[in-house]
Amino acid sequence: MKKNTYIYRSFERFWHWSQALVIFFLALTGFEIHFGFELFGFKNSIDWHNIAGWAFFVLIVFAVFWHFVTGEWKQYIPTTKLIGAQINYYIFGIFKGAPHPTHKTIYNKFNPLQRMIYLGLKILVIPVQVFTGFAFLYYLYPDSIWHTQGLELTALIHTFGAFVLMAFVIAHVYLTTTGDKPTESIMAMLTGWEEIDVDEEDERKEHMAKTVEESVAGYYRISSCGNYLDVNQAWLDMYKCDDKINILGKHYSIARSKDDFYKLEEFMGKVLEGESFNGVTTNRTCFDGKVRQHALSINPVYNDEGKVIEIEGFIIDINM
Amino acid sequence: MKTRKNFFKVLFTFIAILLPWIVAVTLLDNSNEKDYTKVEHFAEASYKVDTIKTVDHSKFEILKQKFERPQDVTLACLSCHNQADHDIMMTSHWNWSRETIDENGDTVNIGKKNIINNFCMGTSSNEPRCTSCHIGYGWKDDKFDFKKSENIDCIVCHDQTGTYKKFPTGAGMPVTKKKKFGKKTFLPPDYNYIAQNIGLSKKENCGACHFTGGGGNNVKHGDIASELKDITKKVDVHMAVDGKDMTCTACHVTEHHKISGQLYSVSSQDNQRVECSQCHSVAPHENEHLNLHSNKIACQTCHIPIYAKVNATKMNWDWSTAGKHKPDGSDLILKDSMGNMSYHTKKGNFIWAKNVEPEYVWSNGKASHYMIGDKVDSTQVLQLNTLLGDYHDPKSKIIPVKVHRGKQIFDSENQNLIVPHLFGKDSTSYWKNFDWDKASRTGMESLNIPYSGKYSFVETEMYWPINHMVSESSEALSCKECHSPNGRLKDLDGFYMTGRDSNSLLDWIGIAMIIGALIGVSIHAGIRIFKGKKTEEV
Repeated sequence: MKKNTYIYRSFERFWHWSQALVIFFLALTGFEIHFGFELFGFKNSIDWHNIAGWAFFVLIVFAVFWHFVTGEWKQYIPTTKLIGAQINYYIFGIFKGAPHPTHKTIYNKFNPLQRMIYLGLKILVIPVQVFTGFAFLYYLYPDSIWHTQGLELTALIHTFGAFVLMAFVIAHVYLTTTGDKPTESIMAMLTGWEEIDVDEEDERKEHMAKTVEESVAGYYRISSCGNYLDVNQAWLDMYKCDDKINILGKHYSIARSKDDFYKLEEFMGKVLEGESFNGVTTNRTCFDGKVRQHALSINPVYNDEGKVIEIEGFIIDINM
Repeated sequence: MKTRKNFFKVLFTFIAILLPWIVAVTLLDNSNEKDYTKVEHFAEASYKVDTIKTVDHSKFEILKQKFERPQDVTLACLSCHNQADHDIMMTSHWNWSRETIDENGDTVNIGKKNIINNFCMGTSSNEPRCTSCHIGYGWKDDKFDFKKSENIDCIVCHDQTGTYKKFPTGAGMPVTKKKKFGKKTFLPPDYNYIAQNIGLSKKENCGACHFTGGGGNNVKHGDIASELKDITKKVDVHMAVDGKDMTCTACHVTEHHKISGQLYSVSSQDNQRVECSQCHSVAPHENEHLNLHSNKIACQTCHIPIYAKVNATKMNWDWSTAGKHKPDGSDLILKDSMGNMSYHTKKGNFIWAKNVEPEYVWSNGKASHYMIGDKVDSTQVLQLNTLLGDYHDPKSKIIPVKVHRGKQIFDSENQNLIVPHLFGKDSTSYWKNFDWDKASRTGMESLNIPYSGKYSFVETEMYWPINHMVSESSEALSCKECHSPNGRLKDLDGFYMTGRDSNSLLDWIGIAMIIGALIGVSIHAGIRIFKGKKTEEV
């Protein structure tokens, strides 16, 4: 099941787009320096490339920190499960309109290929680029720890890394169009929100809780000794009660005539032994003093040890 | 509604990302702009000339005497400056030689006396002509007394009147009566006038010899010529008359007559050098990246983009063609398009050049020299002085040089260069008799080195570091003049330089990767679109 979900948080988006911008700028300036075409001017390109290199480094430091404190690093743990299916999908399935073999959830944002490629970038390509970049910048100082016997190896690795990153960017940008709609993934990275699969069990739990909360049937929960523990809004409306505070902790006899109370005590005793009842009718004395009638269900609530600790049920107004 | 909300969200995100970058780049860019002006202020502030004279030499009785000989002026000077002769006798200006430690660790004396150049080759047996540029009187042969104080010529370096001239062939002596040399007339100096107006050396004093080394203006150095007396900042930012009008000794700081600085045409040691950093510090640029360059690049490399800016300098001298006369037997003299002599019977062929781009070499401040008597491999171009150093030597920097190329005489059997006897009115001098064999025999005899009687010509090179004619900062080399495949440093190998070097295989692989990715995604997208349409039709 798909649901519009907040999947990319603001720092993540800031980091992603800043990194994209920096890498793009580093590529332009870097390739101007390497190939000698005229864009910003050689000197500007050198100076700006160096500044952008430092900015990139700072950004990475923040991103690494973020990945660890949020636990998002776990998203990049590589897996071989379904990797074949994912490759198969990109080579064949996608053309036939086959469904994506893996499903994006908030805990599993990346498919196995993404996990592998992004992890490769994070622990190999980017560190190598940063390291060779700084070696490039500071090799000149003869007493520097970066001092190398010449630049050749550093330069070749740095250049190769740049080509790898560019090839990645092309594939990466293209693959954003392989979602359900071509712009879906890019919009998600911009806004943070995306239609993604949700966990059906979680979804059900959440929905059921909401259903009870918003139902027009009244809901109640009473402790084994007969005190109200919880009610919903419909219950309050039926009892003409303004606020939960006026009822929670009070004994249910408060809204009953003597006869009705004894009748309900009997049911209560049976429910505490494990029975359930439905369609029981009873009168209630509302907070406005009037007596009204409703039908109710009663069932036991068990604790982990299988012992009945509370009772709960729904009430439906039957006044005409 | 939703799209509009999204649009603003996207816009906001982009502004939030872009704004800090734009601000940062703008700020940093502005700081780069300031760069040069700051250096200018710094340099201007640090040079001041003290123009107050502490001594008026015209007040001294001893300088009012009637001087008969120039040596008497020297003796008068020494009567007060009574340690100056001692100082002078320690200098290379006097000895034409320096104590040097060679690569074997032995102490040797190297100087004009025992090394060879590819201009007039050597001084031995040619002294009277060569020593017109010696700061002494009468060094006409190997019997000159270097210990005799009165032989020192004080005036040539300290004359302020501009009236003192040594005669070109007089072994350092001025004339005693009116005498002509070519088109120039030389008059006996007025020693009283000169002695009473003595002072610290000016450009003209140093230039009297250094501007015209090799027998004419700017022949040897290329960056030191008579025009330096009166030039604008375009030619030399330091000595410009519209600038600070600095004298030679402003940089060539002098103590006890020992003048700092030396040139590797005759020197070998990395000591008493004149450095730009004396005034400009080792990190004069505001831009840190430019300062970093000074680890491997000499200041001159970028700041002297061209030399010989006003008059041409000699780039090539081919002695092997000398000796051709006109049909009437007189000297054959030819001129090139600039009006410079391109052929002379006495000297052979010349090539001159103006506004020359220097060549570039590594230099660690040391040089080795061809010493008289060393063997010659005539199959190769002989380097008369080799500037030492390479990329991996941390003391080495790239410096600009003028390379003077030539073809000069050598003993083809003994395999060593010859110092021919060129000058003189005797029966063996080349310039009188045009006989290389006789000239070689006399020249080599004066050196006590055997001469086989067989001679030939060998190609030689001499490396002259370029240090003067520093341009304004706006004229300095731009990055790409070196950082490009066909830039000025294209021949300097052994190291990787950004913008100049690349591994073509790696570049091709990289470009193939990018193009491959583009083609790959295009095909993939194409099939998706094609298949998608088909499905819709079905």
